[in-house]
Amino acid sequence: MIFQYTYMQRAFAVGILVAIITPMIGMIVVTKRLSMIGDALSHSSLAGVAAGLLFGINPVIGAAMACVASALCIEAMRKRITKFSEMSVAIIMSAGIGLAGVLSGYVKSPMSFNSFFFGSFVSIDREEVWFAVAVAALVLSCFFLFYRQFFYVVFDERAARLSGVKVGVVNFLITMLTAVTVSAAARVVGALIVSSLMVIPVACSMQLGKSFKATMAISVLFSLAFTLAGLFLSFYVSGLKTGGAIALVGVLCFAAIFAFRKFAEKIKIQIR
Amino acid sequence: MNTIEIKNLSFDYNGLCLLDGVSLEVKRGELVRLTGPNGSGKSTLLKLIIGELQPKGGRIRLFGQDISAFRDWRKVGYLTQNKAGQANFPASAMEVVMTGLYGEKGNLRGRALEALKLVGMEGHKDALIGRLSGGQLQRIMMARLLAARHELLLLDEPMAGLDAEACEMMYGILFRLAEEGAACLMVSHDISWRAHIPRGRTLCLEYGSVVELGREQLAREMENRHAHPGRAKV
Repeated sequence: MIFQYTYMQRAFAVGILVAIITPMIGMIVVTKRLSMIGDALSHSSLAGVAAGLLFGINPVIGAAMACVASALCIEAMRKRITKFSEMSVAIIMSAGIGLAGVLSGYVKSPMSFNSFFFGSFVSIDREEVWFAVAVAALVLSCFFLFYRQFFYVVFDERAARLSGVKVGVVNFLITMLTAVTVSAAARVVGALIVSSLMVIPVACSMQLGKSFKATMAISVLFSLAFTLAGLFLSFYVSGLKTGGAIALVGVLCFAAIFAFRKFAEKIKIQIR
Repeated sequence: MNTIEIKNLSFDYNGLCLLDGVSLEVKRGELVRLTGPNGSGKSTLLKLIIGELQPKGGRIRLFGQDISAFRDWRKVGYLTQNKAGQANFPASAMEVVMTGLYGEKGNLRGRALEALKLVGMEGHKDALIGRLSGGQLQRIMMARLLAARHELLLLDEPMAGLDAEACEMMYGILFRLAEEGAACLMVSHDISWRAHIPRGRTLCLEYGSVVELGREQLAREMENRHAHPGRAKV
């Protein structure tokens, strides 16, 4: 039985928490036209993981610190190069992967470093479970308290400012939440796959949702389904990486929804 | 007290003088149309009024207060010209109109619905805005401003994408808001303004400064615009 193993219990606990909060953040970054930010932060998190392993700090904490620093750099650069603000994401991603590449050469246990690429449920320890619980609690409470501000800023930053929303504070909060979410998700899903869990459930739900709130709720359901499917598959199919399985299930689901919608539209036109 | 009072405003963009000694006033209950060629600085002027850009010189006062000290921005509604970012946003019309009521209490849904009715979009309240046409989206964005009951409306091409009937409806709403005491400054090239010339003022921004157009000049501008929709020279 899959749940008789403590490491699987931990994997499911962290996986479910991450699956709930990641698409919520994803919804914000996708609608802010910053889909690649998850990629940039997760690549930077690898630099933090390598630094953590090198200096004897918990690699997840190292990843969180690297993510926060990278997110702050992206936000600062976006303000300075407003016309090509998406360049800031690419620059930080390059810096992160470059630093991770250099530092990984000095890491004594390459296996633990490699486990962060595509995720590993076997190696989640107690501390990391608590870190995921804390991050999930933080993200959920921020969405509960500031949902209207988040929505307003993402939809129309200028109007939000005129209405009295503290746009700078809200943007800073979104950046920080994105950073900690990416670092929490990097362990289970894998640093290279985090952004797919951030974007693919949102892409699927955008085909079906009738409002922002509904789209966000549906994206959480998709994310949970992908994560659970990925965890089950990687447990029963030997050699299958959790992150890879989650991403592929997501992509297949997106392709199926997209094809079904196109087919349904065609049928509708023919009926008319 | 003027709702907007601008004196000798100047603004440079990348070393190019865009506004040079612009002065204008908009009173409570007044609808003022601002016209002028492309690139003459009309949208820039609106951005200066909301404090998004900093002027090189001159003074802007809103509701009698210098904008550096002005804090009551909730009185000001702004309709942007560029809606590219919002066109495919996954939100319903109702959610968008509700943003205009941020920080307010009471029957907000009722107010939002009332505003949607005013612009003839109540039947689309649950529609995703990404599925609406450009003109319908424009009406939703107007409904958001109407729901908020601002005292000053700054509108950048509010009639863009609207058909003749919708334009008339929109003018009707704007004049009614003006009668109720709101001040409105709108950047517009819309020729259906012809029918409303006696009820509002038209200013023209050209070569960095503002001139008020008299009836004759205005008629010429309208004629010119009707004959050559692409040209904006007065």
